[in-house]
Order: sequence, then structure tokens, then C-alpha cells
Amino acid sequence: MNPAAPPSGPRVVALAGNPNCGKSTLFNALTGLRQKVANYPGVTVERREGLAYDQHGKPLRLIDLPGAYSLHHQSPDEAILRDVLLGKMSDVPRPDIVICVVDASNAERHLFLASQILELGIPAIIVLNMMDIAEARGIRPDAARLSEIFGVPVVTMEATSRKGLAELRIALASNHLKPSLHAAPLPPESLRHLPVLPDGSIDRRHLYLGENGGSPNSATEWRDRITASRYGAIREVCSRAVHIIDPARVHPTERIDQVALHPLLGPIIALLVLTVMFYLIFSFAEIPMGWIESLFGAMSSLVNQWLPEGDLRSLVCDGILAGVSGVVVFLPQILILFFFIGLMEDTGYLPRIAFMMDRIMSRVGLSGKSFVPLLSSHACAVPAIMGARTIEHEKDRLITILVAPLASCSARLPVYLLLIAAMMPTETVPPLTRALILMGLYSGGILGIFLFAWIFNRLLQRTETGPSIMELPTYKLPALTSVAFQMLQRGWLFIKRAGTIILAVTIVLWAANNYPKNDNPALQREQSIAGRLGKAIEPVISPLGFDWKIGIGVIASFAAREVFVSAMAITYEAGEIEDEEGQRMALRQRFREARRDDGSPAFTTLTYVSLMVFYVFAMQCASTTAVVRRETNSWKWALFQFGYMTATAWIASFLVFQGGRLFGFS
Amino acid sequence: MVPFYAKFRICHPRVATRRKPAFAARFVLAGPHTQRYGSKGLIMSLSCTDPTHMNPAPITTIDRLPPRSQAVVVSCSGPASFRLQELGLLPGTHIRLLRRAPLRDPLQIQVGQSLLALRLREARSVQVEPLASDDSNP
Repeated sequence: MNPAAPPSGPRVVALAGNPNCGKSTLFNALTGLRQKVANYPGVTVERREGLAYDQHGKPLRLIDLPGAYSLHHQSPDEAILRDVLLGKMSDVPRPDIVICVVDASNAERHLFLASQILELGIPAIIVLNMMDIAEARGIRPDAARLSEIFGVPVVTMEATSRKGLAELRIALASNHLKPSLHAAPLPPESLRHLPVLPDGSIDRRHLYLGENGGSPNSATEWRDRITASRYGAIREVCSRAVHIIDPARVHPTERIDQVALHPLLGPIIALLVLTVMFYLIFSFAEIPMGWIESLFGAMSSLVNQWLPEGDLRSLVCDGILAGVSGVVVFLPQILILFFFIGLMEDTGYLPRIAFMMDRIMSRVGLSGKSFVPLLSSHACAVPAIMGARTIEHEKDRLITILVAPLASCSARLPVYLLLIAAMMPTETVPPLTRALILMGLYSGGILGIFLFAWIFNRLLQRTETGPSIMELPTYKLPALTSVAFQMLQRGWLFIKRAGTIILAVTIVLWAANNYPKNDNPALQREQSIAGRLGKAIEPVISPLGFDWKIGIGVIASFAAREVFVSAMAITYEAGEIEDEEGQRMALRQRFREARRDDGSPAFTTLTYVSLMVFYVFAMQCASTTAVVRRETNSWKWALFQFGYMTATAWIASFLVFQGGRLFGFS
Repeated sequence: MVPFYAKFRICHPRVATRRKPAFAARFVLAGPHTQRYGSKGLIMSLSCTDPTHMNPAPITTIDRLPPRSQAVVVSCSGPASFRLQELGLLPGTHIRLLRRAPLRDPLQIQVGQSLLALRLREARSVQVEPLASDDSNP
């Protein structure tokens, strides 16, 4: 089958296995830092490739395939596994060797996929991973016996502690790797439909070539029977080669689950864990973010000394440096979130949270897996959208990404605080009222999430939904190096993929705010492209109760929401005050004095409410748009998100302002 | 010696053709051949039967099993049946319902060495034959 062609480049080795079989840990252990992450064309499925070496030092091109339960695919991830293994993926060569990773403690289920893959005629190695967990549970797979049965090398391994890596490298160095000769019996009625190879055997690749992961013309029962006969064969193998010391022993995970999934204790524990995570993202990240900001501030003042005053200095300070710091400043939050998600994923706790939250999320058509990304979106949508990678179903992932920025993120907080402070004099209104308004704004965001998730779920109905069966993996100690590695990789990916876009957008917005030039800094805003845009959109925003000066603030906030405060400060000449509280008070005074052209006050209670509602729903974050563009692999969804959120914000503000006026508020 | 109350048996509502019980009844009738179906059980027939002519244990679905009980899979149906079978829920396989999520849905089950979460929709599509509860010897 594989002609002995002279090797052109390194041999291609694919890693395949069920989700949670430790495949990625093994991939990281084999490749180290020599790996790159990209996307498969047309889908959001991650494609990980790296360079590994066998025991003789020969290079191998290692591909980490998405986790799957069966070659009869039911999700885009599983379709990719099939396409690569059958050599149908255009830019991925058919693997020369496939490594089937099998969880030794759950060999029967994991051998199901392995046995499908072994029949494809690719030289193979079976890796029995997590031998330590199997041993602790009294499960002893006999590697020699399995190797004898399947006719391929079987390597025992503990990928988290790198045990068995050398043996795997030795196995990979062999030039005599052969396809397995083992084949599960097929039901007789299926044989007629399958082509016969020259050597008289059945070409089983055709089992997986049909639509929806089925075989061509396959009847439902047909596929059922293949599954049954395959499991029959595997159970027979396991009865010979996997010794279970005490079959009646209680799953050790079950002891933990009795507490972690307890009807009362379970949610309390989850709440505690998430509170700690949320607290760290929300407030602990402020410390390194402060460092980053002061570092860039120092660099900016250094540049100020070196460069003569002028456009170049302005470009470097307010354009490039501001852009770079705007990228780097997200890193602490991204790293903390991914450290926690990695930790919870690796220990097996994340699926438990999803299990407990599934009912609530299913009401709007999502699954429990969307819960953690949507929760962390309240700190910042950028890491949250990247965190949506933990959701397997493509549709759920897309909806989660689309609704995540509706959560009131930390960038909205300064805007809310300014508007609340300006609307209500601190002296007369009790703090509780202001806290309640803030809570109302956050609730508005949450309501928006559920509403739009529900709507999108209806709209995207045509996409096939996979069955919502979730595996709850056994608990295990986290491989900290792997978690840290993944965290750093995500951080780097963010800088590389989204950072460039964020930098470009910052520079464009800088230009829009600074050109054409005007000598008077107060008039500069008005005369600049952004200011003119603010004026130009006045007819659009005046039904919301905003005048053109607010328009400038709104336009400027499209870079980032918190810019509203500083843009307002410049427009209203409140002066540069370092202290946040002082700036708020100064702006409040300015807002009160502000008059429209006809002499009426520019800011009324209704204007404030309308503005707040606008900020709840509006998509004003270039970084988020850049990340959505990268994560969904298309501008289509990024622009759609921008459009629907801005439209919602406009309509909601319009209803509030016009409705309020109708009822006689001002 | 068969105690007199063992002669009473209840037909399970799922065996009946009606998909949804017309009204709910909480039913408790102790005896080796009786089952508790929770609040949604409906007594379709209450007849005096000779235990020697009993049908095999009544077929039910996973969502109707009491927590921490075991059962044997009879069949899978519905759109998820392929995946359920690929995950090991084949006819004849022993499963154990471990618990319900705090909000009652989904359910956690053990199949072989795998722990799976099934939503009620999927759990309803798996017909099982309950086994004697092993609660007495934890």
C-alpha cells in the first residue's frame, strides 16, 4: 500500500484518541516548544503540529488530532480526525504512523476508536497512557498480550510524569512498523457494500466515507450492528488482556463526586472556586496591569524627552506605544484565566461545573460548558472568548463567542461609575441606590446574554446539534507544567494573532483623533476626523438624547469603552486629573454646566439613563472584535457581532429615551 | 411460601402505550415484585397474579431509575442512539445511575469505567431493565 518511496522530509506521525486520554500532554512531552498552533481551514478547530525526534534522533512531524469517540463523526472535530486519517485533508499529508492513545484505566471504551483506526491500514503504535491511575484502580492491562492480539507495538506510559517516553521513541524509530492485522468482525449483510482490496481483505475505510459519518447506503441497524460486533470483539480482547482486580470496587472518583456534585455542597464549592478565580482575574490582575501601564508610561515619557515635539512623537507615544500597551495589558487576565481553566480541565473539575450548570444553560440552547467563559466575560471578554475553546460543539462555541461581550466587563465599570456619579449627587442619594443602579446595569447585560443566546440558537437551528452527552473524566492531579505551558501558549497566541489587529486599530483611531491638526487642544477633538464623525452622527444619536459632544465620546469608545471618560474629560476641558475620583467629580460639574446649542441642559437624568443603557449593549471594544475575528476565522462573525450589539444598544437607548419622554420624564 | 402481598403487581406506565400519564399518583406497595415509580407513576393495572407467571422485570428508562441503582441496557433509540452505543451503552451492558445534577438534569451514569452525563432527553431514550438495588451493601 505505502510504496517504499524515498522519504521526502520527516515522517508524519498522528496522535489520535478519545477526549481526555492525555493526548495533548503526550504531544507536549514529545515536542516541547517546537510546536505551532493554527486552525484547520474553514472551521474553528485547532490544529496543532510539532517537531519530535525518535530515539535515533530522526525528526518526526507530529500532528495532534482532535479528540474523538468514533470515526463515525458527529462533530467538526471528529470529521477532521477521519479526514486526516483517510488522507482526505488537502493540506495535511496522510500520516505514515498513527499513535492510538488509550486510557489504560478505561481501555474498553478507548479501544473502540483505536480498533477503528487500526483497521485503516496505517502502521500503528498503541500507547497505554495513565498506567498509574489504572494501577491505583486495580486495573492491569497486559501490554504484551495486547501487542500480540493487535499485531502492533504497545507502549505503557504515564505522560504526565514522562514515564515511557523513551520506549515510545524507540518504537517510533523502528522501520518495521506495520498496520494491525486485527479486524473486528463485520455483520455479513454489510460485506456486500464494501469494496475488496487486491489482497482479498475488505476495505474498511469505506465504512466512514458516507454522509454524516455513516457508510454509503448504510441502514441504521447496520451501523448499530457494526458497533455491537466491534464492542463484542473488544470485550473479548479485554477479558483476555485487561485484568481487573476487583470489578465491584467503587470508582475512586465517585468518592469525590459525592461531595463535589452533592446537591447542596456541589454548587457551594463551585461558587467558592469560581469566586476565587473571578477575584483573581478581576482585582489581582490589576497589579501586573498597573506595572505594564506604568512601564509604558515611563517609556512614553522617555520618548517625550528624546523626540522633538510633533507628529512623530505623538505617533510613537499615543499611537504605537499606546497600542502595544493596549495589547500587553490584557495578558495578566488571559494568563490567570487560562491557568485556572487549564487547572480545572486537567483535574476534571471543569466538566463538573458544566454538569451542574447544564440545566440553566440548556434553557437557551447552550450547554454547561458555556458557563465558565460567559462568567469570566464579566471581567473581560477577550480571555473569555479565547476560553470558549473548551466548548466542543461548534454552534455552542459560536453563540458563546457572540454573546460574551454583552457581559458587563471591567472596562464598562469606569463609564458606569462616572455616569452614576454625574446623575446622582453623592450628598443626597444613599450609596445603596447607586449600588442598585449598578446591579441593574449588570443584570441588563446578563439578560442580554440569555436573550441573544436564545435568539441565535433559534437562528442557527440549521446547524446539526450533536447529542449533549458529556463525559465526566476521572479526577486526577494536574500536570502543572502542561497547564503552565498551555497558559503561556495562549498568551503568546493572543499577542501574535489579536495583538497585531489591536495595534493597527489603535493607530487608526489615534490618527482619527489627531488629524487634521488644530492648535487649540479643545478644538482639536472637534476638528479631528473623530470629532467630525461625532458631529456627523448627531442625527443618528440625537433620538437617544446625545449631543455631538457625547457622540465624540461614543466614537472614541469604539477603541475601548473606558476611553469615554478621558475623551469626555478632554472634550469638556475637565483637565487632566490623575486621581480617578477627582476626575469624576470635575467631569460631573462640567456635565451639569453643559448646555446644548439651544441653551437647554445637555445632560438630564434621562440622558444619563439612555447613555448607560447604550453602554450595556454596545460593542465598543476593538480588541474583542479582533479576537472574535481570530477565533471564528472570519470577519463575518466579528462584524455581525458588532452590528447586532450596536443596533441593540441604539434601539434600547431609543426606547428608554423616547419612552421616558413620553411618560414625562426629562 | 409466597407472602400474600407479593401477588399484587403493577404494570409500569412506560410499558403502557400512553406516553404521558393522565394523572400522577404516588404509589407505595411493598413487595418483592413491586416497584416505586416516584410521583409520576400511574397505576395501569392492579391485578392478582401468580408469581410463577410473572413477566421479567419491567422495562423502564434511565431517567426513571432511582438514584444509585443499577440496570441492564435493553435498547437505545432516538437521534443520540449511535453515540450512546459507541460510548458503550449496548444492549446487555450494566449501567449505574449515580446521581442527578443539583437542578435534576442532567444525570450522571457509569458505563464500564466511563462516567457520562446524559440529559433527560437522552436518558429517556435508553430502555433499561432495573437490577436489584445494591444499596444494602455499600
